[in-house]
Amino acid sequence: MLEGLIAGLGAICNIYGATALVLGVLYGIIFGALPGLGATIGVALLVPFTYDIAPATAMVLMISVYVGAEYGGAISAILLSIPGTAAAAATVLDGYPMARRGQAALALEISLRAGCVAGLLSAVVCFLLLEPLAGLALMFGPPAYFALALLALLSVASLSANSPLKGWLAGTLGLAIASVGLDPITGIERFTLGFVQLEEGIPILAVIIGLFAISEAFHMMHRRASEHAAASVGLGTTYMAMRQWLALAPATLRGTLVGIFAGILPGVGATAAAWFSYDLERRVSRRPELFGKGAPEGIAAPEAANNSTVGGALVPMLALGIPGSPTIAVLIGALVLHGLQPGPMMVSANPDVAYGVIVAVFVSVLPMYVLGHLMIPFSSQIIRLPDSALTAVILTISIVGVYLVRGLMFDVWLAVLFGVIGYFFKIVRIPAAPVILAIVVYPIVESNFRRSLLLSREGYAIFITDRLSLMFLSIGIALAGWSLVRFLRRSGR
Amino acid sequence: MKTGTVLAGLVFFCCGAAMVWGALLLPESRSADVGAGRLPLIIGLAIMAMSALVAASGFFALDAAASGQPAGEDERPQRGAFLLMIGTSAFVLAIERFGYLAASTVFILAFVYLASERRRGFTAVATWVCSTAFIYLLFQLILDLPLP
Repeated sequence: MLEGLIAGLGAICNIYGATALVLGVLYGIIFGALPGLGATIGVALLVPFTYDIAPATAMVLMISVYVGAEYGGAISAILLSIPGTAAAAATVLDGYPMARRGQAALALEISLRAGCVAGLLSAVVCFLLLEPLAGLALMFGPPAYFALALLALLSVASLSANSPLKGWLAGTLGLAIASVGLDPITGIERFTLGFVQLEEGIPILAVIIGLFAISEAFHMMHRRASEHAAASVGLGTTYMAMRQWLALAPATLRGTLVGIFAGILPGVGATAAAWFSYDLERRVSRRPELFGKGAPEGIAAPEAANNSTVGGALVPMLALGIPGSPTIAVLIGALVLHGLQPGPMMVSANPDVAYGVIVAVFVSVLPMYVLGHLMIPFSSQIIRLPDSALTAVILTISIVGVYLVRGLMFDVWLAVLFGVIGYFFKIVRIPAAPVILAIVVYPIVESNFRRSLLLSREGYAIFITDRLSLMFLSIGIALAGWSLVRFLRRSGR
Repeated sequence: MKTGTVLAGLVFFCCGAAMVWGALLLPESRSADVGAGRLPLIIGLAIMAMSALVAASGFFALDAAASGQPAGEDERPQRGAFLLMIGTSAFVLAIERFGYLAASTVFILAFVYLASERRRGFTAVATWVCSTAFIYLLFQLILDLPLP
C-alpha cells in the first residue's frame, strides 16, 4: 500500500503531473460551470489530447477535470438557477435564493469548501478500500466476473433514465456496438460490413465524442436563449464567522458519506447522491422550514455528496475495472486507449496510474480551492459565454481530436454519425451513458462468458451454480424488477 | 402516443433483427468454444425484445407520464439542429478536400456569426482566432501531431 502511495505521488510530483493537475482543475471548473456540458463531455473532449502523454499524467489530468467539474456545476446553479451539471440541481434550491439575497459569493464559497472536504475524505476512503477490494476481486472466477459486469451495466441502465426500458435498450445497443470487429478468439470478422477500418472494432473515442460532445453541440441549438440569461444576482462577500462554518461540518460529513457510498454503487451516481443528502439534511435539520429559502446546509450537503462520488466511483473502477458512472466509463476508455486495462491486476502492474489517480483526487483539492476562490468574482462572466461560440469550439475540437487518434477521416465520420444518433437519443430520451458503459464492459462480459462456458460441463447452468455469480445475477434481476415496478407505478398504469 | 419513441423502438427492432441474422451467418466454432456468434445472437435478441418494449411504452406514452410531461410529446427536433448536422458534414468534407485550417476558418466564422441571435462579428472572429490558435499550438507544436 505504501509503495503504491509513493508511486502515486510520483505521478503528481513532477512538472508534468503538477501542470496537468492545475490545468485540469481549471478546465473542469469552467466546463462544469457551463450549463449542459459537465464532467463527461469535458473529459471526453480531453481524451485525444492525452494520447501522446504518459498514462499516469493523462489520468491525473482527466481526474482533475472530473473533480473541478463537480464543483463547477454549482456556479451556474447558484448564479443562474441553471445547474451546470445534473448533480448540481439540488444546489439550486438554496444556492439561488442566497444569490438573490446578495450572498452569491458566500454560497459559492460554501459549495467550494464542502467540495474540498468531500474530495479529501473520498480519496482517503478510496485509498483504504482499493487493495482489499482488488484482492477480493482476484478470487472471482469467470462466471462471477461475467455476472458482476452484467450487474454494473444493468444497474446503470436501470437508474439512468426515466424509463428503465430505454436504459436497457441503450445498454444492449452498446454491447452490439462493441461486438463489431474481429472476434478476439477465432479472428472471425463480425458486422464490419466490409470496412477494413472496423476490423479493430468501432473506436470507442468516436462513440464517446459523438454521443456526448457532438450530440450536445447539435442539442445546444435548442437552447440558444440561455445565451442572454444574464445573472441578476449580487455576489457579496465570502465572509462567514468561524462558528457558522463549523456548524456546517456535520452536513458536509453526512453529504460526504452519502456521496462515497453512492459513488461505489454502480449507477447511483452524483445526482441521486446530491438529492438524497439534501433530503437527509432537511430531515435532520432543526429548522427545516429554512430549506429552499437559502439554508447554507442545503448547499453544503449536496455539494459534498456530489464531489465525494468521484473518490467513491474510483473504487470499482480501479479494483474491478467496472465503471459506475459515465465519466468513469470515459476514463476507462481513455485507459484502454493507453493500452491499460483497469481491474484487480492494475493495482500491482501499474501502481503509478492506479494510485496516481487517487493521489490526484486528494491533491486536486488544493488547486480547486485556490482557483475556485480566485474565480468567484469572475464566475458570472464564465457562464455568459455565447452558446454559438461554445458549439463551434466543441465541434472543431471533437473533430480534430477524433482524427488524431488513428489519423483516419473514417473515424471523424463515425463520430458525426454517433453525434446524430446521440441527438435523436436526446429527443426520445434514451440515455447515452449505458451505451458507453456497455462498450467498456463488453470485453469483460464476452471473455468471461465464453471462458465460463468452456469450463462448464452443465452449459449455462454454471451462472447459477457459481454462488457469487448467482448472487450478482439475483441482485441485478431484483434491481431491474424494482426499477420496472417503480416506473410502472409512476406511469400510473 | 409518443411518435418518436415508437419510431425509435421500431428502428432498433430492425437493427436487432439484422444483428440476429448477421450472428446466425457467422461460422460455428469447431472447438469447445461457443463461437464468435453466440453472444451477438443473444444481444441481438435482447435488442429486439427491449426495442419492442420501448415501442410499446411509447405507444401507451408510459414514460411521458413518468417524467411529468404531457402524454404524446417527445422533444421536437429543431430545424437549427438539422442545419448544424448538414453544416458539420460539409465541414468534415471540406477538411478532407482543403485541410483543417481553411475549412475551420469558413465554418467557425460563418457558424458563430449566423447562429448568434444578434449578429456578432467580433465573437465570430475571436472564437476562430482562439480555437485555431489553441488547436494549432497544442497539436502541431506541443504534441507534434499532424492536423487533418
